[in-house]
Amino acid sequence: MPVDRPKSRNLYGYHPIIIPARNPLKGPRLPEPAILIEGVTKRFRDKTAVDRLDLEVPTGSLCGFLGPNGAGKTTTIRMVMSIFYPDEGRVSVLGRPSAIESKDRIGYLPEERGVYRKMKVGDFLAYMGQLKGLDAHGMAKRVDDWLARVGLPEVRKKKCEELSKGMQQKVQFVAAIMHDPELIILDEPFSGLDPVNARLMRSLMEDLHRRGKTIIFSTHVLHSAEQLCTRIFMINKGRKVLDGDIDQIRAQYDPKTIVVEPLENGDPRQAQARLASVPGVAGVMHSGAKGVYEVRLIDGADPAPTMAAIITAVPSRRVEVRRATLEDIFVHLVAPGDSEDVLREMLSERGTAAEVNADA
Amino acid sequence: MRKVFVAALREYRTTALTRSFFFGAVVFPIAIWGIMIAVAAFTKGERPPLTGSMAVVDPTPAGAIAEGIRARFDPQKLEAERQRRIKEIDAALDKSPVPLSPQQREIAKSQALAFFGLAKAWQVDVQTATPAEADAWREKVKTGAALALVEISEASVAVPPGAFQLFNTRKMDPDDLSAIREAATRSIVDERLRRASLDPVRVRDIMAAPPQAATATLTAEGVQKGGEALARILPFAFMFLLYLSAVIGGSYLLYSTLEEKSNRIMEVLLSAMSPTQLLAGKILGQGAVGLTVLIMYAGLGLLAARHFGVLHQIPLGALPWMLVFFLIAYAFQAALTAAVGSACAQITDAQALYAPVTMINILPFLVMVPVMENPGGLLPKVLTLTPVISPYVAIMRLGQPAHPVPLWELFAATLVGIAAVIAAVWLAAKIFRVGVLMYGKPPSILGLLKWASYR
Repeated sequence: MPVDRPKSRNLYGYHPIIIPARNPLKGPRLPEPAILIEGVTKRFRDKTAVDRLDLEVPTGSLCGFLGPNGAGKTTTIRMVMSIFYPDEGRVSVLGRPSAIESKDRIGYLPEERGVYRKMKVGDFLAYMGQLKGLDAHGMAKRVDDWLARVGLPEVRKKKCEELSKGMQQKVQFVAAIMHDPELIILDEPFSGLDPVNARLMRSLMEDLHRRGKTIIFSTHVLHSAEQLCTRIFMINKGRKVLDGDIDQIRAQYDPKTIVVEPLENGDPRQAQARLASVPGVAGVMHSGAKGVYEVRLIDGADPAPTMAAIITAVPSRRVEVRRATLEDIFVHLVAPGDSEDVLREMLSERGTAAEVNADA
Repeated sequence: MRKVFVAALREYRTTALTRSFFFGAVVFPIAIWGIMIAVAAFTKGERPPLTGSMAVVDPTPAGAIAEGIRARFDPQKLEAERQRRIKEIDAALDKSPVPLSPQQREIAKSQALAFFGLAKAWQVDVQTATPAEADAWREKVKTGAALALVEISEASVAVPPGAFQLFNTRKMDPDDLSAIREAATRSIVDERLRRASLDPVRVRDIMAAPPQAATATLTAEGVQKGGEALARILPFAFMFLLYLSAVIGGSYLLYSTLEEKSNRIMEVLLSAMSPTQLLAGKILGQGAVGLTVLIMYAGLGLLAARHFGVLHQIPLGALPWMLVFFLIAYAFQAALTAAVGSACAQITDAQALYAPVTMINILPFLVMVPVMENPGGLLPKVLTLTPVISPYVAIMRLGQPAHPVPLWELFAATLVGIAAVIAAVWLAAKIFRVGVLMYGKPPSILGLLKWASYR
């Protein structure tokens, strides 16, 4: 069951931070969004996988789609791909009411991804290319070019089963994007990749983004999302809890904590008391590192004068605003009990494990 | 539609243009045929002789019945009889219209000898016993000291007859037992003939050689050689060919769907095409595989018929209907198979769900005998218009030119078949759409049907 955490542990507050993608005050209107999800709900028996979700993926953006296991990410992506259909609400993809009408303009790397084990890599890619509307003419060259780009120039004639898992993943990635789609949807693109290949994947994604492609990817690798994304969505229990440009999200979270390292390692209680007395400070606690404190500001306080006051009150080696990482935001928006494992446990008691797999 | 063909082409290429298909569909049947011939050749060898003693309680004063049984198992007489039969069989085989290889001759000869009960040598001491000695002989049979005791009473010789008793040991081979029973029966009949003042040997000779009919078929092209054998097996051959090609196509579809499920490639495919397109491509591709099997086997059958000069006996007009009914039978089979395959990721899971399909597949064999015995009867007519089974019954009836099937019935069977196919494909598409993305515990059959109701 979900665990109710005491409010005092929440550094950043519980309220979802939703920043509109199209800010009417900022510049001209952006073109038609690549994906528009309006009030979408999807249920599997008595479990609501996605609950009244609104989402807008601007054209040309590189979006991270975050959320704990079982939050409804894959279900949402499958509805975008018209593999599932929403019970309520509306999905529009590349300006069409269904992805079926524009499947050849979409590149999709699903979470459940495999290869024909007995097929040769080149034949497999040619088959997937043809299914995506590519002409057989010039296919061999296209396959070769892409395999070279992902560092697998010699595998065209090998059977898929002869490749390592990481190599297969790169082949799957090529299968998803070799037809030069406008919109690329990647479900957990980094899972199963070693650091070198994860870096290659990141650089390929950046390259595609530079070439004007719209990319949305779900991931648990928050570090990669942080490095890559221009925009972040997060859902939890089927509901959106975070949506906005990554810089704006950071701005919302950032100024609330200041890290202080006093020059003298005196009595910690005295230092803590002095810091707490500074105007604008809501609370002080040890950061974990010896002689370093985390000073939490009261809501709406301006960090600059508070920092100046802190230096005056406690001469310090270091006084800095702590940048919230995506991991911090993720962890504090998602309660530990929200993970899929708990849901799975609940559902398997009712004998519907198969459905959990399908909608996870 | 292009995507459907791309998927169908892949299905065909990865199934029919493979070594395993070549071995499974071509080499394997030929190997089975070869093994059957080899097994028959090995079993033709004579079995070890039966040795021991038995007794006959004979009601006739002169012991004529016991003597008849004794004569039947007399080694010298048996050998003489055997040589006589071998000569007869050789002469008959020389007249065979079909050229026979030496192996085929040997097999035919050994089977004919077995038919006359001469495949095995007997060294059995047949003794005559009085009714008073019967108890002692029963004890001997019980302990295994004697092979058998035949107790014949006067009532057994009368017409209508009473039964005679045959006691034997538990270890006795059923073939040997039936040889003793036949010998006793024949000896009793001989006694009846003698009582009617007839010569048993003469009567048997007269009865043993019935006149042979040289069957010929009168056709527009003239008199054609022909017999009943082909006409008898043709309906079965037609039905079996249809069944085999439909089931082979269906089973390849099951394996290919399971492979895609277990390799977790379904969602990758669904990103490029709808589930209905994927299902259509798979059904089409594996249908082409089934059609390849049908054309291959039918072609081999026609070549063989031409070689043996019996091509005229095959109603060639039925062949286009064979194609029509193949498409119906296969599409129905394929729809159900795809639905089952989509719900499972392992062959072991699929077996349980496949049981209803297997039961449906047995239906043509269950109705085979009544349809073949009375093709123009009410039951075959009703079955021709019964969904699921209609293609098989229609093709069986087409295999019997003596009972022409009215054209309207064939068209009606086609319409009924198409309706069944549409229903099956509709249901399968709904199950397939849900099933392909389901992993974990496979559903029950009821659960499968429930999937069809999902939006």
